[in-house]
Amino acid sequence: MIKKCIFTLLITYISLTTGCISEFNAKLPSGVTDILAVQGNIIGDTTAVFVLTQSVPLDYDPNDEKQYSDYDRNAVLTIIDSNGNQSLPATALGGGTYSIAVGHLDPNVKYALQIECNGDTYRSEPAYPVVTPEIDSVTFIQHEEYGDVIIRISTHDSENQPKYFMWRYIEDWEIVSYFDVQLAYDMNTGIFTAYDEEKNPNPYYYCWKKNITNPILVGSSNDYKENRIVNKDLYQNLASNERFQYLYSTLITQYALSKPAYEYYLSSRKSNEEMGGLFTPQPSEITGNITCVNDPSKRIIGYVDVINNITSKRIFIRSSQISRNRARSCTLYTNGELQALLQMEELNFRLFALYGYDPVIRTPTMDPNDTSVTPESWAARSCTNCTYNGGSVNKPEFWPQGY
Amino acid sequence: MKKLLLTYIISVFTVIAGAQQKYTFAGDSLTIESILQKIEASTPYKIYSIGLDLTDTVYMKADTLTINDLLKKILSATPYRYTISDNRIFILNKYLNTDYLFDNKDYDMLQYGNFSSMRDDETADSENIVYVIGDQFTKNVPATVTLSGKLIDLKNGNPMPGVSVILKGTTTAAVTDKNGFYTLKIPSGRRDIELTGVGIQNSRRNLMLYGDGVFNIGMFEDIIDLNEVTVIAGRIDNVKNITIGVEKIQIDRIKNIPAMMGEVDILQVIQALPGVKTVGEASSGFNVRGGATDQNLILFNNNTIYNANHLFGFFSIFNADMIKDAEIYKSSIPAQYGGRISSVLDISSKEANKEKFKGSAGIGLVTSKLNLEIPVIKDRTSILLSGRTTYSDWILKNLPKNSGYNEGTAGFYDIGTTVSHKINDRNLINMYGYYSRDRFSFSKQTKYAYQNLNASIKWRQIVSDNLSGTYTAGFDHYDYDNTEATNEFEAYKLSFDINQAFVNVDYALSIDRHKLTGGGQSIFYSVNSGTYEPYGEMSLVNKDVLQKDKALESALYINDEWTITPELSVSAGLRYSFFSALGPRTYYQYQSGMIPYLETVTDTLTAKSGSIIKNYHGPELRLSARYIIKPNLSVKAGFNTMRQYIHKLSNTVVMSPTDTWKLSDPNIRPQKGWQAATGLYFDTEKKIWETSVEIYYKRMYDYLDYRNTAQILMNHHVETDVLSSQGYAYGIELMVRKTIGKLNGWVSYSYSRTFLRQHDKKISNPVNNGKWYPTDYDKPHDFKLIGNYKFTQRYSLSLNIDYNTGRPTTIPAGKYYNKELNSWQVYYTDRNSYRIPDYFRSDVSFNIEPSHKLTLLTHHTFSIGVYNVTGRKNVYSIYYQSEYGQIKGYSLSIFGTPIPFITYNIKF
Repeated sequence: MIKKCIFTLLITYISLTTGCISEFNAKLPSGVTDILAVQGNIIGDTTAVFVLTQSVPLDYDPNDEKQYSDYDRNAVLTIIDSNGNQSLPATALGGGTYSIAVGHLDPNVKYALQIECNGDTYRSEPAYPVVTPEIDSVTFIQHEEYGDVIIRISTHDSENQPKYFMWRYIEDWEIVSYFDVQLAYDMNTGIFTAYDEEKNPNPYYYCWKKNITNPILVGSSNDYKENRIVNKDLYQNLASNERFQYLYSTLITQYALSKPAYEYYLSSRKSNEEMGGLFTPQPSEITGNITCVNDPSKRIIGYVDVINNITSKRIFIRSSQISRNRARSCTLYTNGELQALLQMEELNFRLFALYGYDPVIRTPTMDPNDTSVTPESWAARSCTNCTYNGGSVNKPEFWPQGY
Repeated sequence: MKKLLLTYIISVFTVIAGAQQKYTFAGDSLTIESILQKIEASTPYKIYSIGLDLTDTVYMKADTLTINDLLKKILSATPYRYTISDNRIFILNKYLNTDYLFDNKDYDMLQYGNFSSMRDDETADSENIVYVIGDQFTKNVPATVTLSGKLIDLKNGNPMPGVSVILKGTTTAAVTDKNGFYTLKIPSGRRDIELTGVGIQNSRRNLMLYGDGVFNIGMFEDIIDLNEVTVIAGRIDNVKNITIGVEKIQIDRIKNIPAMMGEVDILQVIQALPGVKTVGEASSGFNVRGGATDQNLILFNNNTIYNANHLFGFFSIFNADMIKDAEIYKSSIPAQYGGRISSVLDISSKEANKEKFKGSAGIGLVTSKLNLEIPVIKDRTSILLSGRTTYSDWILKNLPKNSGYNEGTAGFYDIGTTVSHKINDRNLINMYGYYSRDRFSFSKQTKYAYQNLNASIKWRQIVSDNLSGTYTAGFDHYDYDNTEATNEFEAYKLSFDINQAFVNVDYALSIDRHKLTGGGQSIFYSVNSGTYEPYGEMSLVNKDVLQKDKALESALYINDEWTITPELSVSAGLRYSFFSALGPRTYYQYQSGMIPYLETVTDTLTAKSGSIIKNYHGPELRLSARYIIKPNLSVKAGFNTMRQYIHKLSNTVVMSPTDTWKLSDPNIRPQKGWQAATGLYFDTEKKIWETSVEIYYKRMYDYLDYRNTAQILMNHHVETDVLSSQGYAYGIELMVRKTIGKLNGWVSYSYSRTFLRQHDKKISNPVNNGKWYPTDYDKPHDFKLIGNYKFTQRYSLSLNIDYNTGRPTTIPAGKYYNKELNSWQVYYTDRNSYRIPDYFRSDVSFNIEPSHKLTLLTHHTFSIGVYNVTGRKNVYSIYYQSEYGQIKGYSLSIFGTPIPFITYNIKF
């Protein structure tokens, strides 16, 4: 893709361009909204989850009072097949989410999703299930020092038919606080407690974060020899991103798609994530495979594909495996320094805490019998407590031993 | 033919004597000259004569004669008769129409004028000579004579197109064509013609016409003591020209327009004309009167140019130093042109000076260029060499590392040549060659390159005084290859090329009041529609090659420009074009009555090499008429139909580096269009202001539009991804132009609309439900100003203003939450339902012209200016993206600040 800034960049030698791209927030005329959007696929041997939402104006704020809840609970979702079978209705989980157990899919039978709601019947185009091959490998690469960390996938299929794929990923990563603090302060009681690795470990040193916001990732082996996809770039993150601070993990799930489904996702990707280039085609309406049986002119967003199975693979990346700069730095203040910084007339630990500082180092003592715990230095809470950086102290089940 | 001095200045003695004066002779042979001297010496008469051979001798027998008898006697053997009026004796050919002489009391011209006959290869350069055309001894001077010839610039020998040759005091006039030729029918006798045109000093030539003849005129185009410099010249006569919607640009005259990066560019000037639009600044491709970017035929010395842009449209591939002029036909397209349905842009190279070695060089911030004119054989053969290159890489290199672009490169070069050889006065041969190469990349891994290669040879033959022929043959090539190697396993090279060989034969014949043109044209196309192949050893890419597209496109045409009365002229042309798609080819046949879809394939057909797969043919009409209401006011109308057999495959709004061209085939019909236009043209006195109003309406059929989610590149059956659509456009264009005086330039305003629709009922989900929707370049209001003010002969200020309505764009109809992706997503329904903000830009430049001393060996020109003075951030596009789960709107501006530039040119 041709990058979008080139003209401005060409002339930056003389002009101090303030940026060729600026945010555009004009009030747009509203187009057709309240369209049913269907997400989910019929996947064999799983509990398939379908989500029904309604389209809203572009400037709609989710916190607005107006609720788009036509499909929250009252839709009846079933899976039908070309033999005339119909499954039991899906379970409404609320918020437009429905789940339905899908058994083993017969490769010689076409399957479709049927939705009945408010007197309308919607049906996806019946299709044969496509088989997803195993993922050969998920790897990462950093092309240059401190460069982006790129996650790549390889897969292949023994069948001679080209395969179309979609991938989703879930990222988890462990973060650690900048300082492994030696003591805790309870603002309410004014008591300092010393941490002890065995008996009373610092609970806010290790945290875990999770991201499930995804771009649309699709690919095809159509153009390649032997129906292989080798080291296809899936997504990338800056090496300095906190994801790679300690231990990073990603779980890639591979979905084989039918060709029209692939084209649908490819177009969605283009119109949602690859706009703005000089040579980018104008976005256009994307037609999915769901129609309203009783009103074929009705627009419906979404593509429900029929997939025999899905495959997945997880990898871990240790911070030592990549080259990265330590992005953050934290300052340690002595009691006096912090008092001066906060312009306080007298030392007041409670105020320190209220201002968002935590004790870091305990005043050392020579006397082994001295059990008093007092702070010697302080740091901002974002340097001492990983939950303040959005982490959760709950370690994921799959997290490896020793981390 | 030897040059004769035929007439003589008869001296101006004033001796008092009468008509009764008698002369006595003694029987000897005397020259006419001596006898006439005797008369002048002895009487108060002054004798005026033209064309009489004074060295003739007359035997005077011994006698005494009065003046009357004497004159009768000496003229008896000649076709000359005399007239006595006051104290003047006129001795003139009796067949000569003398009304003009006496009506205009043009005696002094006879008296002081050096009369000179003309050799065909001479040029008439002086205003103070009476040029004699035809046989002055003839006994049959016709009532009207045909004068034809060529106007050349005495300074460099270049032809001067667009100059009006007007019979003084009448509306009889001709305009020189692009090769400087003109033909004029005027009454015989003593006549004056006036030469006017923009950018030349108005001039006059005095003629004594005894018969048809060649009259070549030499003029100084760039007069050193010129008081006025014009922005634009070579304009086709606003009022008198028959063609509607035509503009002519002479590159010499546009050097003072403020140009982006300081480089004068013919395409940028074309885009400053009313009716010509682009989707945004610095974008490749232009739209004429609502037509698409692929509907313009761009000819460069008869060669077809498929990609006229360098560096993303910053520059055109036409180096201004090697261009003579350009004509754009927006409405009435002459019958000799065809193959595109919107417009023709015909660009001609200069010919090098055949007498003197000359050159010029220029340095700008991005490019430098060199132009040499080399005479090889004096007055016969010359070579023009022109080259240009960039050094813009350093710009990208200097960008900060984290911009991601500093590994990018961008550059181009081009070279062009014109070899001009004069075999004799009636046969001229020109050979043209052109090559250009562009390359750019944004990283080490992604590279783009394209090149143009064109060559042609043109033989112009003057068969007789009223018949000329032009025979052209040539070859055109365009290719690109793009490589993408970010991932070595997926690394690929994508390439495309188009080749065509062509032959044109054109004749022009003048008979009475008819100017007939006719001829034929044939183009053989061979298109490598696309090759996608592995790049590098590790690549797993499967090589894929699309079938070659081959075809033969031919046309025959005839056109008559008929001057019915001096006021009313019509031009009627018929062009018949044939197109044959040729094998070898394997292609699908689809169910009849269904649009092509893989599901509707009924058969796969294979055609042998050279066999005709499909024929398309049809007539194309080219009609226009002009009526002169008053000498400075005329009305014109035109109607034309066009066919186009080659289509650009692209779903972007601009020309992009991956665009390919597709020939019509059994499944892709030719595009057709028609346009009707009419206009009113008015010049103020002395043509100080030229004004025009034109309105037009046009329709387009079988324009290629794309299915949503179409695959355009490397598609083996592209007909399944395209849809034929219809278009219409209308508009009004107002223009006021000032070509004379310290202030010159033009102001134009146009209101125009252009729409498309997918009308075919078979299309299941047509764009905007099959209703009309505005095209990407539908920009109703369009105001343009180009002006130049000359303070002195050396210093001038130029201004350029451009305003237009923002172009239509497609915006999301709304958004929906995708729980699987945990992200808001946009969706689109109607195309082009919104407009980006209006566009406004102004540029200024200050120009320092060379010192006007001819003795200097070199001339320097400086130009300094600012592009986008107000620094307005004109929006190029607005778009919406899903980022971290949220939808964000952005506007992209190409230039957000004023951009200064400076250029320096030297001529030697």
